[in-house]
Amino acid sequence: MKNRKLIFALFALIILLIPLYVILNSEDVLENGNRHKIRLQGYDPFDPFRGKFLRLRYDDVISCDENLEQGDRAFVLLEKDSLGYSYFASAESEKPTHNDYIEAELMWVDGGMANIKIDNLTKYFINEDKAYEAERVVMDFTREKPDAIYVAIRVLNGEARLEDIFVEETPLLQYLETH
Amino acid sequence: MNTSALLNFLNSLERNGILNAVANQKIQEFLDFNTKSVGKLFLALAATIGALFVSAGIFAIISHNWDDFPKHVRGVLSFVPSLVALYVYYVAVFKFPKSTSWIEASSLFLMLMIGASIALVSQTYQMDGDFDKFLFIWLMLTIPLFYIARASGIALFYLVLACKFLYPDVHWTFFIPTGYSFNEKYYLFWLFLFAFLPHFYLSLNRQSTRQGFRVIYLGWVVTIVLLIALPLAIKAGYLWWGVALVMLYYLIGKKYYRDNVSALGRPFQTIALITVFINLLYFSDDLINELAFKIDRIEEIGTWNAEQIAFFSAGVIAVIALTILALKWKKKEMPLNRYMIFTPFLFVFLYGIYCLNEFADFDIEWLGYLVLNFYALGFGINAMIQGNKSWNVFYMVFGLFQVCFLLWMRYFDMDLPFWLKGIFFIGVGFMFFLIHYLSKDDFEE
Repeated sequence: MKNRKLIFALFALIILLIPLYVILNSEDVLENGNRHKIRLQGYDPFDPFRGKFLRLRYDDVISCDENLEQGDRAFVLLEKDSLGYSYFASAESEKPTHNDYIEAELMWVDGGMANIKIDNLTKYFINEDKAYEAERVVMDFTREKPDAIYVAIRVLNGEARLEDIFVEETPLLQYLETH
Repeated sequence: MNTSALLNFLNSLERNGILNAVANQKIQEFLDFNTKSVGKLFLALAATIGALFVSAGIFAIISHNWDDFPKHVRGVLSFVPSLVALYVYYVAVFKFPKSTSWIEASSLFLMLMIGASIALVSQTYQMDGDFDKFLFIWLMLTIPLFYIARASGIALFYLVLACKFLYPDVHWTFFIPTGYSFNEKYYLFWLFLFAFLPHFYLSLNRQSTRQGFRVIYLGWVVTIVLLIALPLAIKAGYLWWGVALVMLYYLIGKKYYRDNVSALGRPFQTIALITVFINLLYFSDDLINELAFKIDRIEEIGTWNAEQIAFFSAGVIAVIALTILALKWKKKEMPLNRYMIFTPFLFVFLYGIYCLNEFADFDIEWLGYLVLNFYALGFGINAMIQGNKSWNVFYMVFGLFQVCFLLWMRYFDMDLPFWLKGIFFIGVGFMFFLIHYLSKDDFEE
């Protein structure tokens, strides 16, 4: 019985440590990661486990190293344009010396270009009552005022977390409350 | 007739001197045991379905997305589903260890709530994440549930979710699927299957040839999942793995399940026989078909990688080992169907014909068709004879269907002059009348 209780306690500890690890890791990236603003598009599907979300789309077809192949994991460099927006610039096989990169899988590679699979930046989970309104705002702004809406992300050691969607420099949820 | 009506009937038989008191008591004890077993099954099912719906409800509440709470509060709330489920599981394991309902329901609840906690964290931190990684962690955390309290109900969810690692990567171009590649993480399916199999083995009543509800359920889950998953879970030797699987199912069924009352209670034998039934008919129409013989491209074996060679060798070794085992068991008087034991030899013979045809330009395909058709016919007739001997009407019907389907297929594709075909099938029709005539006395009496 004592052994069984010990096994149970160990099992329970592992179960609780996993979400704790994800939380601490996410907080680390959000606190200490480099901040980037990225242009986006959005719409409103549904996830059966986590509720409604806006799917965020980026320009994810980029140049890549010649030695990279489909299915490889690559280091995707983030660079800034003249307006201060970041974009995914290229997929490299060598780890860069700076911190402005994410690790991503290459979905396909063709003629020096690759389609990257971006983890953790493509879904913005949102309250079910606000999803429709948020979708409308995102769609309107991406169509009519693309410079007034962006996604802020944080990157650290190849990992990325979505900080928020900003509409006229206001976080999306706050913007929905005030408009 | 329900149980209470049956008991009244037995008592009236005793009163009228048809049944003696001892026999009546023994029958009533047997009925009482069976009623209790079915009652236990009902209770476990009700509790498990309850846990499933409660979990679904919790997922729906999570889906609302409570973004009015600050992030740190939501972070703490993420642990609540796992903590509550752990408490319920603790109560089940340490307060009600003998209650199947408690163990099964709490295990399923905990399994789903582990997923709920991870989902809540990913929702809070806007992580769409890598689904394969999420699933890997989720299933790894589920494995101890099979061994801490020996829960079996979760096996279905566990194995179906493990099949995700076999699902091919579909390539899309402008929302249209334009191709696919096999899932490279297929080895995780095997890992999770092998992690589960000791639970199945421990649950078996290894001293008996009759199994209870739990092992019957596990048998159905394992046989169906593995049968469907196999083509995607191996990399070469498809024909041999298929033959080995049928033999394995048949032998496990005969060793541990053979005295279960109905076909539903013998999952391994039932699936093995249905698979053989379908395949014999299929091969009788298209002997050297692409999927069985040509998919491996044995002529390119020199260019195969280590993975393909390992799978091919494992398939061939499994067929040899299982055939030797079957022959040994047959020698020890185990009641094995000789047509099943002969199946590997049949496929070796057909493979020889394929190789002669393909690589030596020596076409004796007709011989393959002839042997296979007679084998299928013999298989069906043997099933009818064995079914008749053991008073198993379903087995007889199985044999009858086998023969009937085979002959109907030949009716449409046999290349004979119509007058000869007509005489042949009139003969076949009379053969069925003869079977009816010969069986009439047995069944009408």
